[in-house]
Amino acid sequence: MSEAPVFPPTDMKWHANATKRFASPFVGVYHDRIDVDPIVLAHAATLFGYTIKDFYTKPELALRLVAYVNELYDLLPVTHWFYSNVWLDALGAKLEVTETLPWIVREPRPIQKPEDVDKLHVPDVDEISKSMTAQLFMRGYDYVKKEIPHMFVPISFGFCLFGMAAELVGPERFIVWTRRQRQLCHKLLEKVTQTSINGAIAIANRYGFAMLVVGSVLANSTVLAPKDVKELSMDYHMKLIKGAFKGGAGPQLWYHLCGDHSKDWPIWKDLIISPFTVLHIGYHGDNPFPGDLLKKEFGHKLTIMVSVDTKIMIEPNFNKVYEQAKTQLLKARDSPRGCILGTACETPVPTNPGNILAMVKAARDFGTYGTW
Amino acid sequence: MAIEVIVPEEVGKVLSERGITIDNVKKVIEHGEATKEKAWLPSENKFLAKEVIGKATFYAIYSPRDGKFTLHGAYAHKMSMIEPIDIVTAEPSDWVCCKCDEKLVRSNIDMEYLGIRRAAPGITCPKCKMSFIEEYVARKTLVVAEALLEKKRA
Repeated sequence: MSEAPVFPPTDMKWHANATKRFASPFVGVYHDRIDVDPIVLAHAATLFGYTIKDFYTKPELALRLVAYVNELYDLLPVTHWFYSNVWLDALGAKLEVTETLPWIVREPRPIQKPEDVDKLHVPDVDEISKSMTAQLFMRGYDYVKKEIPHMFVPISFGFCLFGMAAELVGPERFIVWTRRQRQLCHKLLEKVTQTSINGAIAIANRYGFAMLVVGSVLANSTVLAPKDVKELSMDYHMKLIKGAFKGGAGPQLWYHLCGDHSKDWPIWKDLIISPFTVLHIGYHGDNPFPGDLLKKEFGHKLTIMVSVDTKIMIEPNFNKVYEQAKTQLLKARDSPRGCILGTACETPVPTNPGNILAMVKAARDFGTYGTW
Repeated sequence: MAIEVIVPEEVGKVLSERGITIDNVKKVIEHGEATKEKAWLPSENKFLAKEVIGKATFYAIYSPRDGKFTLHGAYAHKMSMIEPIDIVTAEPSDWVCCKCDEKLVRSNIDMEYLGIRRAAPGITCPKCKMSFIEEYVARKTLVVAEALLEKKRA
């Protein structure tokens, strides 16, 4: 689509209500209903006739589309845009975006042999501010701040530090390294972590604060033993959070544990918590992580985000989504520090809109504060 | 008898910027010295003490010398500390509890502000549970959190 899109103005009455709803878990004054966040990304582009490539190469358009979708679906009063391979360009990776995929690392990868890890330069805050990742995010956030400031929340990502390190080496080779070259993995993870800290500080320096999104995606129970998830993922995320907080990022903190965390979830009990922390765990084996377990183990100290299986978001079975959302809400809606209803990961690009509407309907039917 | 606190010029500027008076600092140090509710950083021979004054919690980092106290820094936060909810014994800090001689460890501490209870990262003695918020958390994380809570509550 070559024509520039023109959007109607945000309905500010809707926005005021959505803002109160969004804030409610954090301020203990429950408003309206439990919020729904199906983590809409490129779905917002294809829904309106744009491509995945448009979404990942034009952050201004992407953020505006997500803002529009959030309003139409009655989701969040803020907009967001991200991809998993953040900051890797600043570490020497060549990234490309295709018609069907977000930014991926092109071969040859920057780490070909063990000694390349030693040579890897960690960009400082000034250097990383000039990276492709920072420039894309800053283009997008500058646009939102100027055009739709009521939807503005700058975000910095350390999206699965283990996965980021793996992308620099090649995922299969890196997983072999975790068994045969453990110290080398640590050396690389240190560098990826420091790069992500500097990236978060660069975003915070420009906007005054930066919500931190951290995740353990490739580092999950299917790939690693729980002790390895701790050593190779969680410990580095804690280091990232401390470093980013020291540099002025935060205070919002969103833990996104995508994938199967059926065995490693207990290690996350020791995570760092800020006053605005959300914990989202995607799967327990093949099933969405149970809302009652999340509430029991974490609900007394932070806001939890329960999941609907992303796989069912593309099927034309709206009742299946509705029932799964209902089940999760009934298990977790009274979590002491608030609950959000989400999907286990980014809602798929071909998500059937009826399924997002089914989630919102479930939240209206079973997530209305004060009715249970 | 009032204690004597030496405030280096650069530290004085910081106090002024943060709206912390020398009286506040003296109260914190006096409290720490009188109760031993303070932490010690052996590598730099510095102490960290805290005291609730009015609606804020004030902290002072100082070193005793020849009966006087040299101030290295001071900070404050408005959120009230309630209790530690997670104590991560596997992650010791460099600070030592002056009451128990135990290393303070990373923790999450329940804080309250405007009637809202949320957690924040801190350091806590695993034995007596005495807890502190470190300067970077108070100055960067909590200050923004307090402002957001004020705005969201409004």
